[in-house]
Amino acid sequence: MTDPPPDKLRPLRIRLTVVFLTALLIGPGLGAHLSGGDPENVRFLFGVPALYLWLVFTCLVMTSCILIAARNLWRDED
Amino acid sequence: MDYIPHITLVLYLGGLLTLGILGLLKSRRAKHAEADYYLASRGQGVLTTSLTIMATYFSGFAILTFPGWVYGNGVPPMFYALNLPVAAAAIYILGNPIRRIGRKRGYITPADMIADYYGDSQFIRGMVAFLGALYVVPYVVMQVKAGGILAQGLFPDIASVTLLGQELTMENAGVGALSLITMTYVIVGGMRSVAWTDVLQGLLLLSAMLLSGVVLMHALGGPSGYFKEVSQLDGQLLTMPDAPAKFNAWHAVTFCAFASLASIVQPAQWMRFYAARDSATLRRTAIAFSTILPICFIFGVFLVGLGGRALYPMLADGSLPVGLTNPDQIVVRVIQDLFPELLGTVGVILVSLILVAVMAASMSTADSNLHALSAVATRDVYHQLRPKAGEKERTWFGRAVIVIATLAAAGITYAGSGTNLLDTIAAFFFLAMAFSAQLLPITIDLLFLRRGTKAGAVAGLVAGMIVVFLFPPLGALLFGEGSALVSGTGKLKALLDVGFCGMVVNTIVFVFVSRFTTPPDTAHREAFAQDLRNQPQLKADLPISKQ
Repeated sequence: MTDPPPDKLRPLRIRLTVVFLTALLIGPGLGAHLSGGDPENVRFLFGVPALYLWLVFTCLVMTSCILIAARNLWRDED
Repeated sequence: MDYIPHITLVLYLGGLLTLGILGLLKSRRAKHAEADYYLASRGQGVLTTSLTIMATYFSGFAILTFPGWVYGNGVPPMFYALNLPVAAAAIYILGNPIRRIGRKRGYITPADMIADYYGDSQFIRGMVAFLGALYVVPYVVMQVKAGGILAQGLFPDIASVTLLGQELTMENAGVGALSLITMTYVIVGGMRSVAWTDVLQGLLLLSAMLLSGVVLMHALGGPSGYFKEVSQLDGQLLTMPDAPAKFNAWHAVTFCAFASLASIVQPAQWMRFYAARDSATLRRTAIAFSTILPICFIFGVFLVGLGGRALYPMLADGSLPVGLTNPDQIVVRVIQDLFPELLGTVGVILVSLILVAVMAASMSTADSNLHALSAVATRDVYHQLRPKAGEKERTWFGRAVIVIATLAAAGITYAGSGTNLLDTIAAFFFLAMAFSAQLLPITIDLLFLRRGTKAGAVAGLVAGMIVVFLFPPLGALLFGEGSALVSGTGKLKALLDVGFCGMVVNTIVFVFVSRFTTPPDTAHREAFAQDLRNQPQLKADLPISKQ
């Protein structure tokens, strides 16, 4: 098997970076405000505070980016 | 059953000393004394590297402060756990090129690399070493102190012990014992002992974090019972607050992005990158860091903090319930109350193990920072003053630094809380990450951009440091609590991470000054870039998915 030319990995690299940074910005920011509701009207999903589930989801997205990068972009060299 | 804490502690401390001796025995065959003492001959594998990086990254903060925040403020502080994927990415993206060029050029400290690139200036080396010391020294003192407090928690019924005719409180006895043992295994075995003990301490800490959450959830009747209790909590604990309230979104984002990176470029972690065996080690470490730690936090100690609020509600006037003098104690309180009740003798053993794990968290950070301080003092100060000193002489000097630093840390702690010196050190501790963050702009420049100049780097570092000094609590010490400046930076601190603020100014100054000054020689920059580049060996340079 031959290594794909480096520029074929560039779109994946860019996509992962954008998704990762978006999750980092939106996660505790807009997403948290929208998902959690307000103190007088807390949102729950399946009996679990929605804010907590949103944290789990955001963390899952960011971790997935790392796992995909580790598998496809980060190369073992020695 | 009364002796279980004693037995657990003796076994744990005995284990640490044994690992110290094993580290010494292994190092006797080393060809290069200094590289072996500080970097374990650059041969650490994935288990050691991942656990030592994790254990160094988190002190008692992981099992005390962080769940304490959740107890006091609910779900919002949990978002600070998003710093973990950021740090994981940095372990590979920053750590691997650092490892690669460190191996090629024989670097041991961060200043070795930075000074080599920007022109081997004594001033820049000294600045970087100084910034490193601003991180390391307060951490050593505060972790030694924390260890003493935790020892008191492990033996609550023992008020004092008599040693050589002197009566010592349990806290002071704990400080003394832990300092002595930590100092011994760091001196004896260097990076190997530090890293191997971090493996033990890291495993204890991660297990304790996860186990405490699982048992609490079980105590409340499983997930449905747990969340039924949690759903009764005040709505403010279950929703995101607006700025400038504590743990608002702005602060969370800047903390997660920049405090995590600051913790990754601090001297002890930098040395762990140099010490990693190969790129696969760091790649797998990044995977472990991004998966295991979030699980231990989000499904472990965080659930203890939140469920603890349901089990031990605050009083109507907002004060803490009886038996809880500080929110940081919530994990300890929960496990001490629940584990024996639910699990009998096994529960008592687990309580002792978890309390030892909490102590281990402090010790793992203290030993890593002691070791890093030794490297910085030796390479960046002593070696510059005595260039003809051989490897063995430098290694012995490094050991002397460890002895002096440990004795000083224990001495400051013995002097007691409320003294000016300890309060000052505590003030530096709270801004330690902010100081470390000032290394980020030059790190990114030399690894990826190589457009900055020495003058720009120095100016940026100085500017960033000055900004950090303006923030409370240090700013309050320098300019007074009531000054308009400190009042202003105090408000800014509620919105943005302090290290981030320093870094913004640092970067602006760095870029501006670099525009008008001469960069390193082109050939030098190209040679540096060449050594940073991937050099595939027999195995083709293939991504894992293609192998």
